Amino acid sequence: MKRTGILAAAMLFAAGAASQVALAEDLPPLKIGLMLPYKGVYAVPSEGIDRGFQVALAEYGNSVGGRRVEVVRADDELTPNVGVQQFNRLVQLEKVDLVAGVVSSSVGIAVSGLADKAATPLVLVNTFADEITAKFCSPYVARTSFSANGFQYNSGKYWATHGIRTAVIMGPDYSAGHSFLDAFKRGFQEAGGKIVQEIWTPFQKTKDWGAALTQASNSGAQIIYSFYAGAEAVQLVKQHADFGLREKLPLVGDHWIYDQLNWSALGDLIVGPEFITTYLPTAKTEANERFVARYREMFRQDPEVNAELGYDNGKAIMLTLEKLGGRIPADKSQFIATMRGLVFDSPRGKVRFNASNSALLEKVYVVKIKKDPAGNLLPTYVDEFAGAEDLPGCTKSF
Amino acid sequence: MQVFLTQVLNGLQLSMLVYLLAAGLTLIFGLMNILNLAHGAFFTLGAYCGVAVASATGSFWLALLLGPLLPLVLGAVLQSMLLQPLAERGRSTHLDLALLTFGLLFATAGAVEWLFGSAFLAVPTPPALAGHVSLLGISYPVYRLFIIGVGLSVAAGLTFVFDRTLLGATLRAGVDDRAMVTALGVNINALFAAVFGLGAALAGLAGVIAAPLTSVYSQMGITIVVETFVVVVVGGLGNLRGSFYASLIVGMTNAMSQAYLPEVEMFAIYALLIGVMIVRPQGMFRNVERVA
Amino acid sequence: MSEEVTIARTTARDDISPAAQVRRATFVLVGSAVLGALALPWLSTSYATTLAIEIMIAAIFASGINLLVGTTGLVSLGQGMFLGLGGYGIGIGTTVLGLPLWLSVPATLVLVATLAAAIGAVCTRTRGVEFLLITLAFSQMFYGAAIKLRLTNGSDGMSGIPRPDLGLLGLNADSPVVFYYYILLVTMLAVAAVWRIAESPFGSVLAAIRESERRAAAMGYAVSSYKVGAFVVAAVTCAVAGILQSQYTYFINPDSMSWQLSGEGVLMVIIGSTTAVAGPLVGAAVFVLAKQGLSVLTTEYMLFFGIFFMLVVAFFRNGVVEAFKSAFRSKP
Repeated sequence: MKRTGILAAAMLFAAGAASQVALAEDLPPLKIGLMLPYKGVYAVPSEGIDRGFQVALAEYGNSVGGRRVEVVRADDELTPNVGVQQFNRLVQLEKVDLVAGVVSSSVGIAVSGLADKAATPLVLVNTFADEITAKFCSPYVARTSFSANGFQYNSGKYWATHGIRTAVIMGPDYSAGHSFLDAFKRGFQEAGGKIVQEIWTPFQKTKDWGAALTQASNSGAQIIYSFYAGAEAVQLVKQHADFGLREKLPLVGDHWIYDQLNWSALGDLIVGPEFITTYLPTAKTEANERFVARYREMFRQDPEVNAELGYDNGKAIMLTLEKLGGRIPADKSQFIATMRGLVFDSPRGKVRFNASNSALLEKVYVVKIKKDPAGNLLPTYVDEFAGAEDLPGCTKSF
Repeated sequence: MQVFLTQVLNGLQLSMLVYLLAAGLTLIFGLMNILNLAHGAFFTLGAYCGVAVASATGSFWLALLLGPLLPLVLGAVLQSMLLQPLAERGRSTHLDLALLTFGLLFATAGAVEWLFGSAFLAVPTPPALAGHVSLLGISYPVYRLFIIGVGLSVAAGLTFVFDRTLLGATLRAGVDDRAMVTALGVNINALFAAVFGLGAALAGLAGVIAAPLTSVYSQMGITIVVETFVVVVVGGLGNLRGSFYASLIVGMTNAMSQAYLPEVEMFAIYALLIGVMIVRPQGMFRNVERVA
Repeated sequence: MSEEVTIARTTARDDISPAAQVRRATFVLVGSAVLGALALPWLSTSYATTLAIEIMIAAIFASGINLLVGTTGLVSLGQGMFLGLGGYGIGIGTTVLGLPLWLSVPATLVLVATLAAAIGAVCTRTRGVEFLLITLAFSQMFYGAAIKLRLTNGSDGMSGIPRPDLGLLGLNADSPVVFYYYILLVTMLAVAAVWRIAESPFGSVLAAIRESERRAAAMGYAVSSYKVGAFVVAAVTCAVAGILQSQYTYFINPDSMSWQLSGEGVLMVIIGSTTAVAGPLVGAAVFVLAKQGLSVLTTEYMLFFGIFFMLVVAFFRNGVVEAFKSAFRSKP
């Protein structure tokens, strides 16, 4: 019954869109620049994001308001200078209508300044550092995922109220690492927990966590709480086990430490630890089931958290374009303003935006991975808590 | 104390890895006067060969055996077909050769990325060496002890060859006075190719044994080669034994600064290098070799 | 292009010496390049303007390196450190200390000159590959420091680096065209200054050192002071490039000090030829355009950078400009 309702709505919409086609046919295709670090330590999560993004576009048949949507890809190499060059290339040479993607917060900070000056809409996918939509906020920049504080602040409270009194925090020494773990630390300490030691490893340069793990194991804390992603996460989980710390000093973290895309590299190490995640592929919501089905159809595998974030990025853009009838307003900040007004059901839950263009998290899950007799790895629900609000700090009004 | 002890082992393990590269690099320089910036490329190639063999056969030990073969062959070919002819044509000074190998280092990283993709490849620790042991009150990964063992064995083997065999005598003579060795009727080109190949093979071996520890990625050689240079210069260019001591100094400096002075972690070994170059531009251990 | 060639041919008939021919042709080339550069924003797309900005910044960087590599014969793989120090200098000056830009820039350049004098005094005691290694070590040291220090904001780098305030002229440097002319002006000044220095008696001594250090010393020149002097001028020039680079991107991070970047600078110098004044300009243009062209064709930049580098070193050692010159010389 529900299905028919959607179908009917879709047909109605299609009819409405068709009446616009005649008008829109003369318009050139819409061009979206998609900038991701396709190489290096974040190559694997970037691939996931790209796929999720494609699913969102495919949902609309790669067209909106009668205009075809084209994606122009660019590799920011996780380097702000390259990000700036690629952003200029996309905007000035490729003449894209808007830029999407961007994983690293450092690159995000660099290009959001440019987007603001060039008055080009920039729809960020990750870039979780709080200041992106606070200190560096802009009417031309939105983020479709969440802020570090939104994800980690309540995680700190959760673990502090679930038997953990002392923790070591360990992370990459760059803006996202600090944002995530500082948010955890605030929540953890406010709920009575104690951070015994902070260990920061040089970002992209660290291959050996021997020294860091040795110090942590000597600190007397109950857990290591950590944020790493991509290749660095694989290293840390493996070396943590090599040093025999799995029982003595569990490594607790998020869905990037135990990223599904790294499971094959981690083997059985993935079974057991509890971690937090924003996305449960097994969630029985309509939005999720539709996403999973389409993802499987397109890529012959199950989606995971990075794909979901990429999907939200593409989905928010398509919904906004749909609302605007496939046209970018002359005042391009109106594109972002329209996006800010969206509320939609995403595979991870309800997505809405705050006043400084940052998407908020409805809830965060605590999960652990179990292995069924057939050897399949199953994410299993343990608990959940609400996402926190963003940190204040945006002084502009828009 | 536990931290100190673990860091001593970590430092030793890092030293041995760097030593495997430094040994070849320093011999190549001492003998052929070539600053081979591409030495790190053989480290990368060895690691990727190891990955290919290990995933095809499932055997780490086979990878350990076959991984260094490609670097061995490519190293010998590079020297005899490219570097040697360029040097003989006289157009290229050894500075030009250094720049040429700089290009080669990046070209190799790019080629590997093109062939294998840019993802970091994780290599499982061989089951026999998995897990950790307790010693002196700390628990330490078996695999890292294995790396220390390999490094020490290679060092012992090289020292034996260098000090006690005819080949070693020829090499030592070659480092001291190349013209004299040629005059003695040694086929110097074959010797050069062999040494270059062996050096490359050692770098490849280091790549294979580093793989389970640090995983495998296209730029792994670019990262480690700079540390290797520090070792080679501190030890004295062309000085095999000096490189061994210098590896220990550099490895320990790295490990101790990581644990006790993380602010200087990425700084310390370069400061050491600069200090050595100011005080003893010929390297810390040059005299030891001359006396011996 | 054909116009220049005709002129060159006419002069040839007038029986002028080959050196003068080359000078005349160069003059015409430089003149038309300057005119073209002035008109560029009106003739082409905004992206061409952006690329031109990148080329000019690279050209200043390469000019600095050329004074060491080409004129003095000291191959450095660490000039990226001065590029970075320039950017960090004004970054710290303006965003941390809150100094105005007009004060931060000279302060940065003075600091870089002082630092370069100290570093140069150490480095120039060595030569050949040892010089290459010690400059590399110094740049790695600064690179490590930039990553580790709180002051420089670690691997995130510093953002919000200001462009000059041209409000007095009624202009806004955030506009790409205005910024283009600002870069063009600084580039012409910087390249002219480096050229004057290379052509000066000081520069002749540097060239003498390149040819034979011992002979230069025997002639009574204080060789080591001259080498340190060259090191300082090169460093300051690279720092100017770094300042412009950071203003262009509003941003500076440790990657500007990586040895790959230093290597790219050396490559530009070799492409352009190490002895000609226009060399670094041509080298920078070829390099930036080739890199841009490649990034459209393929994502394997590193592979082509490496191969390109090897080919240039092995077969094209004298560079594009020398090839141009010898083409004129060989004309009957």
